[in-house]
Amino acid sequence: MIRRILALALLVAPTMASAYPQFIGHGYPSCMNCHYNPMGNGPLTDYGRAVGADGIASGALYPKSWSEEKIADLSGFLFRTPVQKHFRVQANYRGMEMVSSVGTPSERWSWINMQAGGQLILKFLENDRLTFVGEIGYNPSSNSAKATGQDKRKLRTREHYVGYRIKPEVGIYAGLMDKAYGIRVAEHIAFSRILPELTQNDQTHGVMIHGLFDGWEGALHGFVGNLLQPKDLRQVGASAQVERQIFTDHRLGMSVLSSKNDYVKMLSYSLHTRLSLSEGSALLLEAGQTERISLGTRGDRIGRYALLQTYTRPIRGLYCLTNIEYMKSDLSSAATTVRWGPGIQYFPVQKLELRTDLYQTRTFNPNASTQDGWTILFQTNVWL
Amino acid sequence: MNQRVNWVWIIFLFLSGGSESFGADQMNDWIKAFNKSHPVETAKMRNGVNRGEEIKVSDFSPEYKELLYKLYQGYASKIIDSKSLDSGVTKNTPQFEFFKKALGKLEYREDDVDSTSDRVRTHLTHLEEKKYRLRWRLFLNYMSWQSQAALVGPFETTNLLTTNLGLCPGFGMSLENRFWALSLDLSGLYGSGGVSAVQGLVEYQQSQVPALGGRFAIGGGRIVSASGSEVGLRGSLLFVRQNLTKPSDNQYNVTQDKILSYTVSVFSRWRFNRFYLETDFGRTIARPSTLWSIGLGTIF
Repeated sequence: MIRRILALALLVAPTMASAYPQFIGHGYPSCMNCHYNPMGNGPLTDYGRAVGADGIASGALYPKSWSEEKIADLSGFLFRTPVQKHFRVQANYRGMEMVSSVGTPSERWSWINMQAGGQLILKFLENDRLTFVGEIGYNPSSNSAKATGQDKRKLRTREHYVGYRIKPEVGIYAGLMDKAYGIRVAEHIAFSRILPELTQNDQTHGVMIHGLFDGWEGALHGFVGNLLQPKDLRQVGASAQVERQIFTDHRLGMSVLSSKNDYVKMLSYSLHTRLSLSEGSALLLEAGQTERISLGTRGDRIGRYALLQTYTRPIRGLYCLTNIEYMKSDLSSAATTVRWGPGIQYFPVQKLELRTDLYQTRTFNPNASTQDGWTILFQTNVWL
Repeated sequence: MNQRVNWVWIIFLFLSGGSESFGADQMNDWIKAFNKSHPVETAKMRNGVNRGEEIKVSDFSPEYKELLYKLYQGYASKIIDSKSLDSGVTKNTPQFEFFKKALGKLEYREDDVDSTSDRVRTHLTHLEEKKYRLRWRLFLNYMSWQSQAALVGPFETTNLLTTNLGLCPGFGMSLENRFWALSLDLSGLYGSGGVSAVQGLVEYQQSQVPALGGRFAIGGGRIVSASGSEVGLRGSLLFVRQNLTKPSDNQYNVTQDKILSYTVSVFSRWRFNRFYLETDFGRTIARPSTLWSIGLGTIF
């Protein structure tokens, strides 16, 4: 079962979301600083794009005479400074060379176009209190869909919503969004995203209320499933995530998610923390459990997961990271899986991210000792 | 006449010390002038700075103010030229502070004085950060590693694989400054693992096989943030004794990896005041085996 989940996660559609909660290490505890969606992911605000250009990406490749202001001025769409305030267009591409089963006779190299999409943002009122955000992009077919000739829909929208900040502290958002739950790490193949079913295509239509008050930030999200899915598959329910600012720079949070469709009822809950260790260094930790109750003939299952993501920034633009993950997909089974993933993330210039990840997967089973599984990912992310 | 002499003094001081670098002779001349040529002004200034007495700015001549400024710049230059926190810095810092306070009281060339003071402070901070210190650590790591063995039978050899988990309590020392760290770690190892055949027709399986050993590691790291986050490389010597049971059939024998192995790993450390979290991910040299560990420690 574990291997099946891993294989599906790695092979089906390894799209990555553009959410970087580790930037708490740069003094950005709230996603709202840089994203239109206050819980992170999706299009960047003008400020977020400028931060990406000035604070995140390396400055080494620019002429020495260029000021930070000049670099930030190039962070708009197609390197232009926006001339009006109501309309924004963004586009991005993410592709990846994946080497699976490294070092075995079945080693396989494959290039995957993960995402090629465009985003449209309309914003009105003072401080952009009213926003309309829409995204549409290329939808890579899974290997199984390719084999069976299904899943011919080549375009997919993962986000379209309207948001209104009633006051700076409170906003209401309605439309298709990711569920508010846990740490929204970029790696959708993380066990902390797989077990509660929060991966790249698990967005849902719903209404989310977001609040930010004096050291507290949270969201309450009621949802009816993705309306583009068949009705029997739609997960209907609610989720909540709350974070508390602790010791000035850090966050401690908890989440709960409850949903059901015609086949399965799910309850997930987790605790997490995000620690800022200054100058880009950060630690993210999440531990949670998912109870999956089958409404059909398949058995119930309780799974447990933990994620530790660590970041250091030796020089501006370069991040050394480690993904350490634990999963017991079924508590009644003896096997547990630990995945260890050192990686390097490099932003040589603004609008370009290069990333290499090595994933080593080790299974602990008292009844059988198995060889580690190895996967290497080489990713490119370009946004305009 | 006196006014003309003053201007000659000022021109002399400007011409003689216009650059950032000051010679020992120049400094000696100025110190002599400070102590002997202006005894009354110097006495007043000493009382003003050292005892906090009020001073009248009008009591001090322009050439005297310029002399103080040159001495201030001279001591600043000596400190900035220092490559380490040696006795030179220790000796010159009080004089530098004296002239800084004196110029502050006179409100003379305040922007230049502040700018030089910032440069000196930055340089002293840099020297402080460059200074290596010895720190001791105690830690407890949770480690996983695999080892190979073979079940040798009369007709075929079956490869066995052991997957282990263990605890490594230990201590270490680091010689470190703000930018770099060199560390030595010594730890014990107590763990256990399950072994089974990964290839071949013969079945062999054992669980909870105890493992005892130790680890000696030497590493170098780059400290990448003010909080002490560190990333580096480490070489380890791993000693593990783990005895797999021989099958009751005398035709079969178990051969195991050598008890000593060498690993190269990438480690990271994140500090929270006196405590730290450490991760380590490495590969055994000449054997297809991976080792990882995660642990907590304290620095003292």
